[in-house]
Amino acid sequence: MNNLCRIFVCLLLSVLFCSGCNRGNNAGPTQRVVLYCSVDEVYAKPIIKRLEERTGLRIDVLYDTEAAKTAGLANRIRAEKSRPRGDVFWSSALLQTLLLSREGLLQPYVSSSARYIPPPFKDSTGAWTGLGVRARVIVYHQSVKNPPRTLQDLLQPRFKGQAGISNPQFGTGSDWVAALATRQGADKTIAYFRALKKNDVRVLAGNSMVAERVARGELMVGITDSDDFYAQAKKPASGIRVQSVATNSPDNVLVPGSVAILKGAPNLKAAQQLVDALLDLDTEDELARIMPGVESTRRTPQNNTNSSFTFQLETAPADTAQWPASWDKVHEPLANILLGG
Amino acid sequence: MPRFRPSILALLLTLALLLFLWLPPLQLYGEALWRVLWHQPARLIEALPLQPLQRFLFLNTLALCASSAAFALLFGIPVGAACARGPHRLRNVFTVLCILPLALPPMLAASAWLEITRTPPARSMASLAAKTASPLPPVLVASLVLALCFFPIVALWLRAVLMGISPDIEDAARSLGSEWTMWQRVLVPLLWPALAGAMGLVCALAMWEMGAPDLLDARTYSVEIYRQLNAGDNLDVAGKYTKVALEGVPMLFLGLLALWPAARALRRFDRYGAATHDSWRSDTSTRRESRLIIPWAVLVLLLSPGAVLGVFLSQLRPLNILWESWASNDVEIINTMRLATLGALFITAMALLLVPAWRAWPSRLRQTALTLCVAPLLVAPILLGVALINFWNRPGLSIVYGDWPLTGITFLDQMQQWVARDGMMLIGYVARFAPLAILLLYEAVRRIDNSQIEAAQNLGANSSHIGRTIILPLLAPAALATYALLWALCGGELSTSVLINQPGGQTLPVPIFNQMHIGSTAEVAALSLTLFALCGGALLLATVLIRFLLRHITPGR
Repeated sequence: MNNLCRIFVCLLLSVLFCSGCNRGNNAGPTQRVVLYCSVDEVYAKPIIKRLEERTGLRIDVLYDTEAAKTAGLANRIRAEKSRPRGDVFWSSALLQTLLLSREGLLQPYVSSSARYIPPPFKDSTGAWTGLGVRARVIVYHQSVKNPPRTLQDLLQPRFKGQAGISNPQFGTGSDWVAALATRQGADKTIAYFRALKKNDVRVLAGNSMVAERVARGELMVGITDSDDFYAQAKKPASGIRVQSVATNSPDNVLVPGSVAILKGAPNLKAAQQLVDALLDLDTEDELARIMPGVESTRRTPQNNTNSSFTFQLETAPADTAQWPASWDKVHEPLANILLGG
Repeated sequence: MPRFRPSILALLLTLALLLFLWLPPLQLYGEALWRVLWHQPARLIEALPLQPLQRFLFLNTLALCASSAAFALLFGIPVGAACARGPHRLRNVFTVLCILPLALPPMLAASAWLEITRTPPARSMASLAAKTASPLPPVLVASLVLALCFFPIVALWLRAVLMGISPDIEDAARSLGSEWTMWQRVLVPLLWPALAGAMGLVCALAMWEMGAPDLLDARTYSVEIYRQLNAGDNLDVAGKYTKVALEGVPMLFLGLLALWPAARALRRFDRYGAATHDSWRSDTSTRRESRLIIPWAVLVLLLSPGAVLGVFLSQLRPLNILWESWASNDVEIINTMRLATLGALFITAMALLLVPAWRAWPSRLRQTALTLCVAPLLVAPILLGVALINFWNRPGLSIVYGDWPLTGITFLDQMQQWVARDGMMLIGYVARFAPLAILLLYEAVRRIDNSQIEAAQNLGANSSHIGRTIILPLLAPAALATYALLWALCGGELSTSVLINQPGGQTLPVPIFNQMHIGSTAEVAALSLTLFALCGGALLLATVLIRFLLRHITPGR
């Protein structure tokens, strides 16, 4: 029995020893910074690894799940507001960052790296700065004749039960709703979603699911993000197609990602260093390169990687400041309309 | 039971564990109740499934529980019977294969199901129209998938009971009547409590599961609470917690309803299943019924774990995706191994320290301690996550988040970072799985033969010496089995971890769950196989070690 106990203890110790040998423990003393990140893990990870090498920081990351996109992390920041544990919030969308800013949970910081980012994509006080822009797009299956060109077209009877959107309580879906409500008014937006529900719209857990279902022909049309469209379009035998929205149309919604420092960040110096590195032009270019469908806010002919679909960044309406107020008016009626049993 | 001197330490430890297990859920519900009663008593109605959404969720959850239990019965009975009554040489193979699905987190099975049932992309408008109607409702699909993961509970319980029934009883019944009479009058009454108990356990597990129903679009309480919790609405944190606590009330009742037969079955277990009959061990004949059950059992095992693993293996194209996924998720893999090892070790050690000490307690006190320790199992994991955050994230207690200033002393600062990364996850594992470990070890302790302990006492051995030289060796196989099961459960845990994991401390199930939504199939397959290999490896290693212990070490064998 004693021998067996010894073997068992040795086994446990070796597992513990091996598992203790991770990057933080053998890299010597490094400055730690905590990043709350709602950008898709699969894209964010390589960028973060490179930033660690470049800055020498140890970046401990907390990701959000696709189903709770951005809102999950924002709620966590709210829950931790009296004792913040995160330093930097890197969001794949903007609305939740704006809401956090309104609640006074962000620490203004004007990064030197953000100098050439256009004004519509950053806050004048430095509460947040844009990083990578995606567009809300109408996608359809290749077999659909006369594809929809506007959001109103999705209400046609031929798309009954055949249109998909992501849950507007999460991620860029909520940014989209807030932008629509800002541009066409809360009542009109609520009426639109009521009509959409009447047409049996499918409310799915994430934008990627909308794109995937359309690509496979399980849905005819959908509203999703440009990066989710590209993720499906590159797959073999994918049937997904995208409809360009007129740039002057209120349907044309661009959603910038955002970077912000959290108020009371425990590692402020390191947080600023990380924000500088994140907002660096090279990082944004890398993001646009590995994540097709996301454009650099500082797009130049050299870094314009998306050839088949271009955003009109110059025409982006500078109405993001009004999104939180519009969101307040529509989110609850929308939740009742779309998610009621 | 022999009388030992009551241990103050055991009493204090039990009290500490009870406070640890009970305070978070009590505080969550206490605060919610207080807030609602004080400010909005009308909101109490949210706790009842009366409004349309609540009714929809209640019926969906109920349907998921009932159909999961029915499917688990359908899959578990033939496998259990094959493990106990199949061809003698194949019994061990069946048992090992039957254990493996326990290492399969349901979301992995859900992902495999989605892959299997995916039809080729539509190419024309006509085929598009033909694809629109889904043949099965999501709840039914989810229950089928959950049953493929949980059927070993039915099978292993059935195996234990069948092994405990004396073949003489069956032979006597058979000689007095037909085969059918023997089943009707002898086997079914003996098996029914165990089957009802296993079904109840499957019901509860299905209700608590969040990952698989979410992936399969089945809206249940767990899924909805997770979404409510993360929704971008205007509620403050306290308001949100109140809302989910109220919505979770029906889950408590459903859990009680489901686990009641399991508790009763466990209490009756030793009447017929306390000992394995040696006549069955030596019985090498293949029973007549095995001709029917073996093909069905083989089919079930081919489906799970067979088909599930087959799907993942077929998706590993190119093969180097496996190494690439390991390289990009190295932190998560290491975290999973470290946290599962520490969690399982801590919980098993704690249960080993407590449960044998209860032997000296009066029967009523012992039963009360057991009931109070096991009752927190009723709290759904997703609500447990909320309760833990609500309880620990406050001044004075947030030390478990590593909330103390850096001192400049390397060791202390390293410790602070370690606690900040792993503290809450370990607390979550203990809160979720300690009741299970206590229950398993309590049953093992109850079966210890008292004569050896009494003999040692008569020879003047003190309680610590008896514990070290008699009780611990006798408990070693059960402790090892508990440790391995806990390792697999901790390694695959998602419902609580997804809420409480800390920066840098994310475990493997979370990125798998995340990438499943994004639809990156090859990476999901690679990571799923990795997770299955870790959890399944732990269970298999434990099975081998337990057999070794039973054959060579345990006294009396």
